[in-house]
Amino acid sequence: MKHQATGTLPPLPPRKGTTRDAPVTEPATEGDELGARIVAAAAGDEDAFATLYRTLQPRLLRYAVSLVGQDAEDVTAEAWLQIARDIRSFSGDTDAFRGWTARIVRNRALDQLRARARRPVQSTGLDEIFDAKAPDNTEDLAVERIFTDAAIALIASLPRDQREAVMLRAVVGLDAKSAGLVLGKSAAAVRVAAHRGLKNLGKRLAATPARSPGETQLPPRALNQ
Amino acid sequence: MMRNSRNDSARARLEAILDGRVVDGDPVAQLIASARGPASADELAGLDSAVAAFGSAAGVTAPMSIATRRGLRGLAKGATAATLATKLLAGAAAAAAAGGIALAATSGTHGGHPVPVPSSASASHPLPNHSAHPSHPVHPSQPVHPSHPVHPSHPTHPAHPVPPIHPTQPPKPPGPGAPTSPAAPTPPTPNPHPTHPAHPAHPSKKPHPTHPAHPSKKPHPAKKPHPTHPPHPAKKPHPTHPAKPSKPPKPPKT
Repeated sequence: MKHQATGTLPPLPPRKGTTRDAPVTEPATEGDELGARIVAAAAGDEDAFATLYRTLQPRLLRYAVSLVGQDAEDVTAEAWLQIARDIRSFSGDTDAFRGWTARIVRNRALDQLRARARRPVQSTGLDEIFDAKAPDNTEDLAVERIFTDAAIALIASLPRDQREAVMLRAVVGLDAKSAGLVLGKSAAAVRVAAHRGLKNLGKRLAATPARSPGETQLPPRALNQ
Repeated sequence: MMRNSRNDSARARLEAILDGRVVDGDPVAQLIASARGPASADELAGLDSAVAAFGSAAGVTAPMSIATRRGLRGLAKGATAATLATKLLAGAAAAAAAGGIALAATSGTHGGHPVPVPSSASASHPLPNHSAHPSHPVHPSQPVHPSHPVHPSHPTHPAHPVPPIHPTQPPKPPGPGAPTSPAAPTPPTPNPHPTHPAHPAHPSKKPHPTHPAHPSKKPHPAKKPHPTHPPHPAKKPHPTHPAKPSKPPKPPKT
């Protein structure tokens, strides 16, 4: 069986209701595509499991990068082993599945941090971020990857509570309630931490001098989405 | 009022950024959009190993069908029941042993007065109570019973019977933890030993005049009355200290 990496990240599902988090009660149904994949994977479908992996792994890996840095791949590999083992006993909707996987990644990351001496995430300076030059012969995907890594590194420089709140909400795609379940906080606390993190990011970006007149501080790729 | 509306709009903007909605010209929104960038191939490098782990987990759990799980559950229940039964039997055996030892101790000392042994019999019967013989210990799980000899293989040592219970004395309760049925006092039986008739008197009153205690056998220390401590004072009033008069009832509070 061959599983091809798609190379593109499926868009996040639209949030339910408004920005205020509504309680998630409906189970995974066949109408929900990702929910159907979860049901199929829980029944033993490998293709469905591969789809889940392709959908969730990039976000989980970036979240793990913000927690443990260069050990993120090991952390997510261990997390997926546990997901593969325990997915048959999972019951819930897609948001619950996202939260469950994020919680597994977080637990493995914390285990990793406890196992070794705490190795702080290398705080990439903004100059390094914006001086990051792709090789001349790279393509747009590589350029995007460079800026993605730079953005993750900048978020990882935030305090831990703000970092995790921003990553879980903005990158992993959890709502405040699910992120609170992962972090062991209330939804309001997660919301406050995420807002503070965004404000900190804005301050850091504002403190960075523009490279050239009219140059945006981050690549225009985001504006094209 | 304007301040609240400004705060609400700021919160709504931050929530929109967190939801991935790009706000034009906002550098933070661009940063978040970059962090949510498309997946690269190296991020999905562990797909095959994850799927393999999923398949192996399915292979491990597939034979565990519902019937198998039920069977294992029943097996576990059976093992649990067997363990419980074993523990109960062990507890009962321990209780029986405790009761048997208590009864044997009671019958061996005859209430603090060892059974006298004549000199002719003392050679072949160094100890009157066969169950107290150091080389023939009583098996802890075997209660002493007159109809069940302690050591049936010994031809010259018939089991020493349990002394008859004094008709006015209630039977002694068995030891703590002893079951009621195996260690229950047995009815008096005729003494099979021709030279050792059962002591008719109360065992705790006074020693037998014709059968003095064996010199090598000490009476049970617990049965020996303490020289300086008389019996329980509650049994009889102290001669010099009369009973403390009971307190007069308190007058009712007004």
